[in-house]
Amino acid sequence: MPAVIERERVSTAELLRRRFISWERLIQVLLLVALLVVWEMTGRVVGEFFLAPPSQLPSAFWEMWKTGELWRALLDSLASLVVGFGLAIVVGIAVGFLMGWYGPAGRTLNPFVSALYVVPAAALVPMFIIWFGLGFTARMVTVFLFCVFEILISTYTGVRNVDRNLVDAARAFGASRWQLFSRVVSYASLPYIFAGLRMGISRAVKGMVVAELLFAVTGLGGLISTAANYYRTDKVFVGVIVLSLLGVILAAAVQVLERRLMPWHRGIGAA
Amino acid sequence: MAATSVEASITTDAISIANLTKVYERISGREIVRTYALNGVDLTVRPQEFVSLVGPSGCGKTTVLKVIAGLLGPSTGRVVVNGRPVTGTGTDRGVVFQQPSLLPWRTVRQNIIESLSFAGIPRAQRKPRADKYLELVGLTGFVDHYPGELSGGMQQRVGIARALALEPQVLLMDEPFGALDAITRQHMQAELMRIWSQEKRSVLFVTHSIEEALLLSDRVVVMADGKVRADVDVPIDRPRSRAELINDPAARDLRTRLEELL
Repeated sequence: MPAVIERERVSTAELLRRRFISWERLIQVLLLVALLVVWEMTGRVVGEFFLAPPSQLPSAFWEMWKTGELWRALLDSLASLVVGFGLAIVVGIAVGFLMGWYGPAGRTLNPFVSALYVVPAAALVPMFIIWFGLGFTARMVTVFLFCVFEILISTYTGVRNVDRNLVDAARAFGASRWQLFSRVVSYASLPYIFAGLRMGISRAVKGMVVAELLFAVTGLGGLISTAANYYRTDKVFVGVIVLSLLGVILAAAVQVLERRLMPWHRGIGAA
Repeated sequence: MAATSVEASITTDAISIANLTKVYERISGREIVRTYALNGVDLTVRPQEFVSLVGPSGCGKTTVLKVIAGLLGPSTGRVVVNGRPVTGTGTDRGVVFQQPSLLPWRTVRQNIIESLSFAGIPRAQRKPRADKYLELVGLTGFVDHYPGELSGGMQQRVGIARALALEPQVLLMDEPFGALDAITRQHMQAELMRIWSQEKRSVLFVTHSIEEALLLSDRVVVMADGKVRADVDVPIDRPRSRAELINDPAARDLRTRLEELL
């Protein structure tokens, strides 16, 4: 027997050191500092009217936080984002599974999905205004359409790319069609589904902002465009930073979920 | 082959195949092209007999095995396992695949338990059986590992334990050691012989290695172009060693004969 397995308890300090200190981390921090320095100098040279330097952002942030406009915008945005993205997950995965699992359904629906996928959602905005008005529903539908196809197509691809050997092995032991789906194919497509969710979440955030700019001026998108109208570049940047933080947090949440649901699936080179 | 001999053999043979064909059709230009993967195969495996199916790649040996396993339907012909005609997959046949084909999201033990649950084995029996056969293949210390944490040879052992855990009358093995390095392969061949001598089952073992076939089997069936070309007994005493196969004149002759057939 070749393998020797050694188990050793590590201290909390060692754990933290391994997780947070590395060359990659150091270079990340240096890049961020360099960016802030360049931005600060440029801002001071051209003036805050054109480009607010980062040193002004904390006070702008505090002002927006105190008046409540920031968190109200954030909640407003999150509502349409969460509902739209949630619906897209349910519909995307369900239709993706259906198309991948039932060959006829896949072949029948495939051209329709391709056709709908290439239509830019922004081109449909005038119709949304007619159908759904300018409120929450219209924004939610925009978020949904922006990300549903990424999730659907990834799920479909995942089901179609399940390792044939795994399916044959389960079949050889007499697995029923339902067992094959629920115990083999669904798990085996998870990596693809999560790839779809990761793409989908950033598309969803973009869809949310587009909707907020094009329909009623509200949420974080509205906050940014209003601030720009008043030449408050500091407020614009606060809005943009909050938006990208939102994207980063949501993407991280998807990744945490991925690790939770697929503990066996680790990247190449994981120690 | 006369029909009577097939009828007579049904009651006694573990596997009995008569005039098996498997045809694939596709349209190319204005023609239908028919590829005969199997073109009239006759084959029997007696109870507790170890039979190897050898032949160059593409000769149809894996197809024969998949038809017996019930994973592929035959175009024409009859497949009977233990007196029952094969209509689909079944738990009377345990299959070991070329690739270990383990579920990566299940641990070693869970993989076997999962397969036993597919096979409809009662819940209470699954874990004891899994542990018994994992011990038999020498993996007791690795039951809680994921397949991704094991070497190729160890994964293949899990695949073998999984098939054995069904306790099938017939074991179908499709080049199970083909993907292993030479040292691991020799080790696994010895292990397989040890296990087989402990729990005798009928085995159909697909390989492209004449040496492996001579080392393991009671009988070697040579396939070429979708047909059985020869059916040769291996009258060498067990346990056999590699050195014997090289030094024993009878074994050398047999080997030369088989090599000429391929």
